[in-house]
Amino acid sequence: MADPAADLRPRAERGSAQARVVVSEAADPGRDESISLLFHELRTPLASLLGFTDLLLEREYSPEKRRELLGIVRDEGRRLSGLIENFLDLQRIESGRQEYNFERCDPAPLLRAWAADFERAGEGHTFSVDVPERLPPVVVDSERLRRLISNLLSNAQKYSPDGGRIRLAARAEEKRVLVCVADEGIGIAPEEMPLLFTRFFRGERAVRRGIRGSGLGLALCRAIVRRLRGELWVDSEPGRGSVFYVALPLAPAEETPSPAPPNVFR
Amino acid sequence: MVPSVKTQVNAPPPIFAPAPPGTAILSPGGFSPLERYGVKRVLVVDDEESIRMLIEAALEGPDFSVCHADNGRDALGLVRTAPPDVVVLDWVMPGMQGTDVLRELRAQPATRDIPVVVVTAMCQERNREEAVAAGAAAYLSNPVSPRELLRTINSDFQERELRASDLPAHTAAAK
Repeated sequence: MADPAADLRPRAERGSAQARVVVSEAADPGRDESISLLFHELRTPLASLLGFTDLLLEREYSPEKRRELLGIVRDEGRRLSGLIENFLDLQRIESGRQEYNFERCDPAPLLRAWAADFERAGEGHTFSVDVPERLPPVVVDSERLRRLISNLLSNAQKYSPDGGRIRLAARAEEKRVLVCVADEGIGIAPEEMPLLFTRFFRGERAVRRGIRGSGLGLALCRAIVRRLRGELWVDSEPGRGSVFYVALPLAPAEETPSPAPPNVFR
Repeated sequence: MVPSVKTQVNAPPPIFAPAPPGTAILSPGGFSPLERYGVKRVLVVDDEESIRMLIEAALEGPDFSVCHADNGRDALGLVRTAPPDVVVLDWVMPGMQGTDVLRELRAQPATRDIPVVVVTAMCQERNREEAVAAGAAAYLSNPVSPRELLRTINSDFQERELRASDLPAHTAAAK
């Protein structure tokens, strides 16, 4: 993979054979199918949670084995909770019921803070941050933007199970701030690209590597980016890694306050 | 961290747990040494690691020897190299689906009698009907309790043993 920090241009513009895939209007499953898929996704962790609980209640295990099984119960409970949280977030955003707190801000300190949180939580990867001291202001809901960037960073870690570098880079462009998250992981097959940001989609390579996921994280990223009026796209090569780009439009120039009218009632 | 998967695409097929001492010779009747000692070999096919672990934990003990595959293609390879006594099969998997695996098993003379218990998160009646029509011995919708899974597998073995002993059909059913 080319160093994304050195060149934030999409791979297509750099002459790579792999064309960029911009977030498209690829169809999500319909409402009924979405609910059916959600139930299917919920049933799997629920089955593990209940099944292992039954075993723990009905059988005798050594303290070590008991701890191992309880660890699975905890992980599956978290998985269930994350799945519900992502689905509800997605529903709120897409139905327009999500409340936002848009603010004009410099995204640089936010990006660096979220990167520091991520670095503390991560293991098995090297992580680097290339975010300038200051970036031009954008208008964003910082909590939604945090969710977006955190999802991309967490995916970078999750989909590079053999370790490698994860990079967060940002720079100012003429009309936007461009942020990229790059990994050296399993990458995405070209034929899967059009479906990547749709609900419940999971790449076959990821599933075959036993990488867990609900298929909701990138759908949530897509919904957030749309609400922030930004763009999201990805370059990827199977077996070499992926680079996700987020472009945020610059905030409009601040109006200089007009001089106060003279007080005629002096 | 992502937990490691025991069965990898290019890894050699998992080896079933070793047979009890003194059983390493095939009986003249062609029964496997394990079967002679009542150890049932179970192949678990599921793309979800936690479900594979759950089924493996449910079958833990002297009665079963378990191996697993995380996709249909690897499962068919394992069936050819080390035929199991029963297959526990997920219905929805990436790539080759449960229905494809079941049809392939039923199409081959060497594997068509291996009982297949489908364990899946799909709970629609049409999936159940499709599985039964394709030759599944049982169809269980998750969440399945370990006890229910064991009961289903054991009752299938009992039925087969009764059939093999040439008992009249009504006697087998009554049992």
